[in-house]
This record gives sequence, structure tokens and C-alpha cells, in this order.
Amino acid sequence: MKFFSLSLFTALIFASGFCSRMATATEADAAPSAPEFTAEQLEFFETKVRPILKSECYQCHSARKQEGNLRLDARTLILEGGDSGAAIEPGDPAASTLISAVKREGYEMPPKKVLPEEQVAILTKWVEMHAPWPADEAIPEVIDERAELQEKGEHHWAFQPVTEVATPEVADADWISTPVDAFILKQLEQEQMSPSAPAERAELIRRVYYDMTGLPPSIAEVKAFVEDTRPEAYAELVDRLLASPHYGEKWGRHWLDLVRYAETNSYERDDAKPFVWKYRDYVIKSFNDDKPYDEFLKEQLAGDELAPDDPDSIIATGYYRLGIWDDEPADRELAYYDDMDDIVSTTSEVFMGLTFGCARCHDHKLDPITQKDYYSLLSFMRNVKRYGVRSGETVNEASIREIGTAEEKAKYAKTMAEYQSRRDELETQLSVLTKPVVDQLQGVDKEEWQYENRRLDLLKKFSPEVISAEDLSKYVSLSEHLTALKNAPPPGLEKALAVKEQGPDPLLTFVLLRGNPQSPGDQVEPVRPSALTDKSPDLTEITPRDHSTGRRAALAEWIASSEHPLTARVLVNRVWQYHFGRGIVRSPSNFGLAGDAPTHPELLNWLAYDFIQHGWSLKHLHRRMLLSSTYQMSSATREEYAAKDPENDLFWRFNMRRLTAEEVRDSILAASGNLSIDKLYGPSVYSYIPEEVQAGQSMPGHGWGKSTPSDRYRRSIYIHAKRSLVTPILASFDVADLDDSCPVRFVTTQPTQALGMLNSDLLTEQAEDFARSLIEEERPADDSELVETALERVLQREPTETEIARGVRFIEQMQTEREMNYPRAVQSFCLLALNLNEFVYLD
Amino acid sequence: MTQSRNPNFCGRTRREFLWQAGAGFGSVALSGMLGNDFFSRQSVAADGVTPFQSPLAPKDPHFDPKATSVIFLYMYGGPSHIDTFDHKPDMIGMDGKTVDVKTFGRGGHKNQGRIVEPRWKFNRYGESGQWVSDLFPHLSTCVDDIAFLKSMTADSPIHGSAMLMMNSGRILSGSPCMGSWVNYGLGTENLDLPGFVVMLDPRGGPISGAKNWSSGYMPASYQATVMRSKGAPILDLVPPEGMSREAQRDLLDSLQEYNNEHQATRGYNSDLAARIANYELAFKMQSSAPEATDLSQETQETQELYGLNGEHSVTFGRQCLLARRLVERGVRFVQIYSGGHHNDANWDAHGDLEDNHNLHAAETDKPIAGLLKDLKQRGMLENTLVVWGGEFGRQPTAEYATGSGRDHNSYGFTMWMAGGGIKGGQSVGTTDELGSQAVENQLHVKNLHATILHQLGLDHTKLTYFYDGLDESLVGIEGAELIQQII
Repeated sequence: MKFFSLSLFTALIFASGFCSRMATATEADAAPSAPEFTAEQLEFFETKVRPILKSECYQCHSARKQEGNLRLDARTLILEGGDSGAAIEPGDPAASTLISAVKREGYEMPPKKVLPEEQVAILTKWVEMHAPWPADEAIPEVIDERAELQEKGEHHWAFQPVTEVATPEVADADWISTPVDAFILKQLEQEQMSPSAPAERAELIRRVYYDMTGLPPSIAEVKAFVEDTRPEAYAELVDRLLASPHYGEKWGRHWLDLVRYAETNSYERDDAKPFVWKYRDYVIKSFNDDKPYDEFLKEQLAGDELAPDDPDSIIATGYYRLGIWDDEPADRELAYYDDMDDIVSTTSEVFMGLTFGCARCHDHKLDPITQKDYYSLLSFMRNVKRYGVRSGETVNEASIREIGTAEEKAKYAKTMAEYQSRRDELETQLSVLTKPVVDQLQGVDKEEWQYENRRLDLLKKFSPEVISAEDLSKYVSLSEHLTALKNAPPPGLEKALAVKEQGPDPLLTFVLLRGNPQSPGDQVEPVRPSALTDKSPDLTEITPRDHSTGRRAALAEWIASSEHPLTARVLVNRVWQYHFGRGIVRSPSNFGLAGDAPTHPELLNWLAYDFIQHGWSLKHLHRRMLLSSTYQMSSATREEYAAKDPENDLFWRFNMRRLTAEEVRDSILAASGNLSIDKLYGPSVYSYIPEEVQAGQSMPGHGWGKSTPSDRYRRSIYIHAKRSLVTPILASFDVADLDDSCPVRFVTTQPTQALGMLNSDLLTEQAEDFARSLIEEERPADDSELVETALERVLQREPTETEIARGVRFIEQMQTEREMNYPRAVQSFCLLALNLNEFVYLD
Repeated sequence: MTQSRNPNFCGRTRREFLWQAGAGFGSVALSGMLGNDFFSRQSVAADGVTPFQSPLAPKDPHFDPKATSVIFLYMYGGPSHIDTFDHKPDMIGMDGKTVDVKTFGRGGHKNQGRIVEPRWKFNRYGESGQWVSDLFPHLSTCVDDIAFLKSMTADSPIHGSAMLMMNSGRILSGSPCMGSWVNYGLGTENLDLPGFVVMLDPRGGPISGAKNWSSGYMPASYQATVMRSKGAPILDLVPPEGMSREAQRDLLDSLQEYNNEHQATRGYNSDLAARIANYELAFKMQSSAPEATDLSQETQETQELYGLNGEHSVTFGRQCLLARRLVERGVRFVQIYSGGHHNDANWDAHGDLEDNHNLHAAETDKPIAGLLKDLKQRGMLENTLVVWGGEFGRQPTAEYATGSGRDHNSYGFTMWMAGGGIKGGQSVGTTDELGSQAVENQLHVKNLHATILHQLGLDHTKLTYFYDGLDESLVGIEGAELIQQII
């Protein structure tokens, strides 16, 4: 309360300051001295002068901002001037501060840009003319941007609580399959529009297969589904897909994009991050196990504090270790804050849809997020150790933890204690045996004794005089025993890349002025962001742990709370985006004031509420969406609708999409019969990367191994994610950039893709294997059957007769006109098939 | 830059509308953003309904450009400024003396060091009397076209981060490189060729490899294509063995028949047509790229001008000649690396300074002089901006107890620019008497970047890309002044 009244007091003083200033201005305005200007002069002002003032000066000197208490957006205020006196002396450019400033004599304005001479001349001429300005123009009122933003934040839709909403009443109730449909239909009906017809069954199964597993269905599955017209057939299909282990591989990839998952550090060495793949496996498994999202979130942010004896919870904190790491930064302190910024930005964007990163150096320009909010959020993680200092050992020290259940850890501790005491015992026995000799050692001998491998020779020198032959042989046997013991410590606990903190006492956190670590400002505490203080649950009490502050646990509990206005909304919107091609909010990581407004706000609210009510279950959420009529609509267009709503804001049809980079590669391998699909999880594999591409590395081939063919053909999610060396086919089909969180993939169309799809080693090899498997394994009766099978493999539908005939003709043509032998002609057709638009586009 | 919007697309995107209709503040920053048609596509890139538009379609600059292309001669490893262009007469006779001087390199911060006297003689050249050392006998004949920037500074004296700084404006990895920004801002006039080309030293790529030509958070369309001056110029350009051009033509014709059928009922999705068109473009590239890279079309005289007859200079010479041919054909941004791999395979002279710099100067001197002269005689120098330099310079003192090796120096170093409207025959800025740090007219990499964009007709404060809630730009939020003296 005390704080509140104080700030109110300050605000009053501030406001009264403005008032008195405005009063002065008004008086000045009324002064008779304002000269009259000709229309020509005013024209000169409007066309030449005002644009310069607007574009070059008003950012800092206008109603929005008054640097140096100077405003240049009203003549009276210009004359009145600011801290350094009047800005101009009408008629006398030489005596005008504004003119000397833009000439950079004395003041240098604008600070970051030298005005071109023409502009300086215009301003000079204007002052010579006594600064013409429309006489009747009112002085714009002072605007407090920060207060304006805070006020907007108060009412911002995304900051309001998630509440229960009733599903709307609609006219065409038959169309409703899940409550989702009611929201979609309601808005369509309001526009006198109707939803599109259902998709063909073959289209639908292909759509949902890729959507849920990233893989094509087999032609047999398609045929069975097309024939199975029972109403429950589709729901059963959805259940099968949700139960598939490949579901986690597809949906885990979405999450890995968001947390900018990569397996190396970038920079000169771009070294591999030890055990990082366990985090990838953790993500895939979490999706497959339908781990509640709130739990998933808490494990990543604070698993070590919340469940230290659960190995998965430790692996999950690898979340903090996925970013880039400069192991020899020019400025260590700055590098620490750069790393923290990476984590603060990623955490705020991914979990809360807020762009905190913009408030590192100054208050957010577009959102009610202050610089203090930024550092306050940072303070929750302030004790997190930097990934490493320089060497691999330092990475081990700062980022590698042993993991195990409490039982495993206790067992290990006991074994280690026994092992140590056995070693100690042997050491004691040895020192008793050698004591008589050691006591006599002098000079060089004494020096040499320090080296274990020299001891036996020294003992022999004193035997049998000082040490008996019997004791000597006893020494030999005991020391051999000890060496063996040293060489075979009991197997350690499993290790994982994880977060570690500096200890339970929190380091102080300060606002860094202009983001500069050398300019600390006010100290901040771990509190909730100002815009959410009244709109989110209280923080739980911060309880220090043995090795950490306990602050991250409090942060995680707060973000994962069902009362938090953003967490569930952001997540359901992402899931919607992955299913439907775009989010209900099109800016999935920006739910702030500058983000997009939801096209279906009620639906978003309903989904978020329903998601929380159903235990944050993703599989439940998928069913809500997949079983809807909205999801099952055709993607075909309707002209009158396309004209009315070209962007499909209302979801009157389903959106087509291109396969993602991983889907393109995996589908090629699936068509050729090479995809190793049964092996799940484990350390990453190396895809084939041509020498020409490796030549771009400073040490060509460095950090890129060779995997066995079956490993090389594993799904793309298992390819080693090396920041400076990306598999070409993935790069050209817009795989996520590995350095920053990627909420929406690009979908580019560029010649590199066509070149790679026609000429690359990968495609040549796969087309050859594709052809071989058709000829040798399928053993078609004739070319018609061969072409049919080939097209079924890439399109997952029965081809038409025209399509088959065209393929047969092509194979024929390659042999007769292009001198290819039969296998090669078939290979060329396979290559053609892999290049079809329909292969990479889903309806 | 708003002209090229597809007419079928009904006006603004929702996001643009919100911003235009919403808060009227920050209008200066926003107008730059809204002037950018790619931006609108970006926000809806995954919706499958926004009309396709090539991200590389030519776009108007912000104002009349002086240059239309850039050739960046990247001296990887960091050439020593005091042994090349920054003459330090006071150091003569000081070899071996220990002096107090603050340095910061890979060996950390030091306050004292043993002077390594510049190892080459300097003379004045040209009408303007610019200083050049004996390392560059050919280049010394071009100095009246060159503006030397002798007070350059950078944020890091470590290769990895310093190279990212020079190429992308930030020491952190993940931002688009200069060539990406230029292609984003201007597009390319010749879609048969890539708009941003990088040529590497055959000894290896630079440290951090592809990060140096990455498009970072921008789409892959803006990343560089690596081109080779020997063999197949571009990855996957040549059809596999057994696939003749005729057979490939047949394949594409047949492919198009299938695709046309598929597209017939899906005409609203312009990506499908774009993908068909891209196969034709790729097919054309297969002939246009080898034509562009066919140096045998050049006269003997031209080839010799670039040093193609010299054992040391042939590789870089071929690359410089190829760069001219690419620029002639409308390629926007070409970057050539002198030096690759590690140690003395590039300008990173930690060991024997003389061996190192003699080698790399011999490899590049004639080719660079040839490039400048050739561009000039063809009237191309006026609109081709040539930039020379590495990620930093080198220290005046020895790195180790013995030998002439110099450690890195980001406190002061030299770069130069020529052509593209740059006023040649002058030097801007100075370092102290040892060349240990910039003194007068300190320049930062950001000033260089802003000036390069300016010569191309791009305002570095307006060429922005909305990402992560911020208007990102090459130069960064703090901005930077242009190097007025040379433009």
C-alpha cells in the first residue's frame, strides 16, 4: 500500500508539471507577437520543413517524448525551447540552437544521423523566414506512452482470465461434430456462408497421417479406410495415430523448433553438446505418453528443483542448454547476459507468447513490458551457471548432472563409499610396507618417490636391507591390486545435459541501463511482470533448495498455473496452427499488443478452458480438433468465398499445405523403401552431406561422422543438428533456423529445391533404390502395374488411367529415344514421381 | 517497395491493417516496416492462401543508388594493417623494443609488448599519394580509386564472433548476413543466377562455415549460394550421369503434364504454379550458370590482367574474374574469401608474419588490381562497390617471446572501399603511432555496413525486418552514421 500511495504521489507531481507547462504554452500562444505568414511561406513549411521535423526530430521532441524538455511540434514551444534555451531565434539562423545542432556545431542532432546539406539549408531558410507555422494550429497534447500502453494492457484480450464460454447456437446443428465446429460455423453463418463439403476419404487419411506422424499412410491403409464407411472409422483412425510412436516424432519436432533445439554450440568449434539427444528423446516420449502440458512445462523450467530424483525431470532442464555458446567471448560479462537473454526471450515467447527480449535495453515500445519486468524475469534464473567457461571440462562442471532415482542414487553412493574405503585400505597397507624406505629417502630418490611408476625400482634398491624380499613381493601384489581397482571404478550413474545453479543464495539482479552490464541501475526482485500482476495468480513462496535458489520452481508453478491467462491460450493456439496451417492468433509467439488479434476469440478461450479442464492433455486437445467437421472439410476453393474471404479468415475450407523439410526427406526415403522407421530414440545419426557442402567448413568434415546405411536412413528428427552444417535437402525446404525459437516455418519456393530434387546425390540414389524395389520386389506384370505402384507410393491414392499411360509412355520414351536401359528408364520415372507437386502438397 | 504486390491480393493483411489503424505511435519505425511487402507474406507464410511472390523479385531502393552490386574481398584471418596500408614510420628502428601498449587478442589483455617492426617498405602512390607497402605492387597502381578506412574498430578480437560481426553485424550467431539484407532489400535482376554468391578458398571455409553466409532468421531464399570457379559451379547444378539434357527436358515436360492436371482444380494455390515455374528456372540455371562461369570466354589479356597465368594468383584471380562476370549478369552481392581453414592457410599470422603475408599478398595482389582495372575500363566500377578487409587487424607487438607473429587487434585496423560512388584517393581516420588503436575519426563495422547499404540506395534505418517483436536491421537499433567523407 505504501508503495502504491508513493507512486500515486509521484504521478500527481508529474501531471501537475505538465499542466503548468501547458498553461505557459497557451499564454505564449495568445501573445500578439506571432507574425503572419504568406500562403507561400506556409506552403514551404508544410511541404519542406514539417516533413523533416516529423521524420528526424519528433521521435524525441514532440508530444510523445520531450528529451531535454524540448518540443518541436508547435511554434510557441520551439520559441520557448527546452533545457538549453530557445530552439530558434526567428530570422537569425546563426543564433539558433536548432540550426547549429543540425550543422553539428555544438549539439549534434539528430544524434545518429547527419542531415544532408539540402535539409540543413531548408531549415536555415525556414528560420530566416521567421519560422512560418499555421497560426491557428493547436498544441498537441502530451502523450504518456507508457501509461497509454499500461492502460491498453489492462483491457488487452490475451491478459484476461480464461473463462468458461458456452458453445454458440447455430442453425445447421447437423454439421457439429465437436464443440469446435459451433464456433467456426457461428461466424460463417453470421456472414451468410456455409462450410465446405467434407474432404474425400483418401485426402483425409493422407492429411491426418502426415499431420499426426509426419509420414504417409500405406496404400493398403488408404484403400481400407476408403472402403470402411462406418461412422466410427475416422475416430478409430485418429486413435491409432495418437497411439503411434511416430506421433511423438512428429509433434516433438514442433516443440524442438520452439525451443531452438540444436546439438552443437555454433562459433569456431561448433562442438557437440554432450548427451543433448536425451532431451530430444524426452520430448518425443512426453508427447507419446501424453504428459500433461503443465507438467511438461514445469519439468523443463525447474525439474531439478521440483523432482530432483526423477531422471526425466533433470533431462528436461536441458532446456536451458540448447542455445548458442561462444566459448571465447570478447566480453565475458556481456556474453553471460547474451546467454541469459536467449533464455529469457525464448521462455517468454514460447510459454507465454510475450516478447520480453525487446525490453532488455529499454521499456518495450509496443507492449506494457518494462525493462524492470525483463530483469525481474531474468532474476528467477540469475543463478543459472553459464553453459561452460571454455573447455569441455568446464561444460561438464556447469552443465552435466548425474541422474537417477533416489534408490539408484543411494545405491550408487553406497557402492562408491565401499569402493573408496577399499582403496583407502590398500593405500594404508602400502604406506605401512614402504614406510621404512620412505623415511630414509634423500635427494633425488626422495624426489623420484613422488612418481608412482618409479617406486618399485627405489624399493628394490633398498631390498633386502631396509625392506624384506617378502614385503617387497607383498608390495608388488598389493599395488597391482590397487591399480586394477583404480582402473575399474564402479559404473557411474547415467549423465545428462542439465541446468545447474551457483547455489541457494541468489546473486543480485539489477536493471542494466541500455542493457549494459557495466551500468547497473535499480536492483530487482523475482516478481510477476507488471502487466500481469493483477491478472495472474500469486507466486508460490520461494524455498531455497540444496543447490539452487528455488526461484525457477516458483516461476514454473506460476506459468503452469491454470489461472495464468496466457499459458493455455498460447499452447492451444500453437496446436491449432499445426493442425490448420495458421493459428487462431496468427502471431503464435506474440500475444502482446502488437500481435495479431484472434480470428475466433471465443473459440480460443473455449479451447484453452477445455484443455485445462481435461488435465492439460494434448491428446484430448488433438481429438477436439481432429474429430471436428472443420478439420475434415475439403480444401477445394469456392470462387465467391475466395473473393469474399481470400485469406480464409473464417475457416470456410481447409488450407492446403506443403510438406515440411523433414516430411519431404522422410517421404522420399519411404517411397524408395529405405526409411528405417522401427528404430526410435537414441544418439543422433549423420546423414549424407556432399563434399562440396562440407568444403564450407574451416575443417571440412569436422564433427560429421559416417553412419551405417540403416542409421543414415532414419527419420530426419534423429539427424545430428549441427548449427553450422545443415543437411542440404532440409535447408532448402525451410527447416527451422537453429539459433532462435521458430514458431512458424517459412514455406519458400526456390530453384535450389528443384535442383536438389532433380540432380542431388540423395535423389539419384533414392530413385535408383525406388526403381530397384519396384522391379525386384514388387515384380509387376507390366509397366502399367509398375507405374501404378510407383504413383501409389508417392501419392497414396489410386492413379488414373491417363496418369498410368503417361508414365508407361515416359519409360518407353527414355528407352527408345534417350538410350536408357530398362532399370534406368524406370529410375527416371521414379525421379519424376518424387518431383510431383502432389507428392509434396497435401489437400 | 510496395509496387510488386499481387493485384489479386485484396489490400492489406490483417496485421498491417491493425498496425495502420491501431496506435498511431512509432509511425516512423512502422512506415519502414509497412513499406516492405515481403513482411506481409512472412506473417502468413504458412497459411497456404497468400499468393506466391518470389522473395527475390527486384524491388525499388529507398533512393537513387550509386552502386548496384557489391564485391566483398574478404581477407579471412585479419591482415596486418601496419604491414599493408597504415604506414607507421615511427616504428622504424624499434624492432625488439619492449613498450607499454594495451592490446587485446586471443592471448587476452596485455599492457606491454615487444615491437615487431613492419616488415615491408612503404611508399606513396598515385596522384593522391596514398601509402602502400611493398606487399601490393599491383594494387598500389589503383589507389586513386580507393578510399582507405584506417580507423576501423570491431567488437571482438576473436575470429568466430568477429567474423559474424563483419558479416551479419552481430557477434551472436543467428542473424542474416549483409548479402541477405541486400537481396532482401533489392531483390535480384537476374533470377537465372543466385543473388548472393560466396566463393571459398580451396583450402577450406572460414571458421563457423555456413554461418558466414546464412540468412539467419530470414527465409532460406536469402542465403548465399556457394559457387566454385572450377568444376560444377553450384551444388546439384549438373544432372546425374546418364541423364542427358534432352532426357531431363522430357522428364520436365512429362512432370508438367502431371502437375498441370493436379493444379487444374487447385489454381487458387499459386505456390503450385510457382513450383512448376521453379523447375523451368532450375533448368535454365543449368545452362546460364555454366555460361556465367565459363572463363574461357575471356581474352588472354583479361585473364592475365587477373593473374590467371600466375601460380599463386590463379585461384583468387579466377574468382575475381568470375565475380566481375556475375556482377555483369546482375548478381547483387559477391563475397570472395582469401584464405580458409586454420593457421597460415589464411591471413592469421600468429607464426611467421613475413611468410604468411607474402603468401597471401602474392595470391591476391594482382587479381584485385586486375579486378579494379577491369571494372574501370568496362565502366562498371561506377556502380560496383568493392570492399576489402578482414574481421580485424593485427597488433604492433609480438604474440610470443620469439618470432614476428602478431595477435589479433580489433581496436584499430584498415579496410578499403572502391567504386560504387566512393570517393577514392583518400584515407579516413588514423591509428596511434603504433597502430594499436584507432584515434582520429573512429569507425566501427556498423559505419561500414551503413555506408555499403547507403551506396546501394538503402537507408539502413529503414531496411528493417520484423522478427521476435522487433524491427531488426543490419546495423541494429542504435544505428550508425554513414562515413560521409567517402561518399
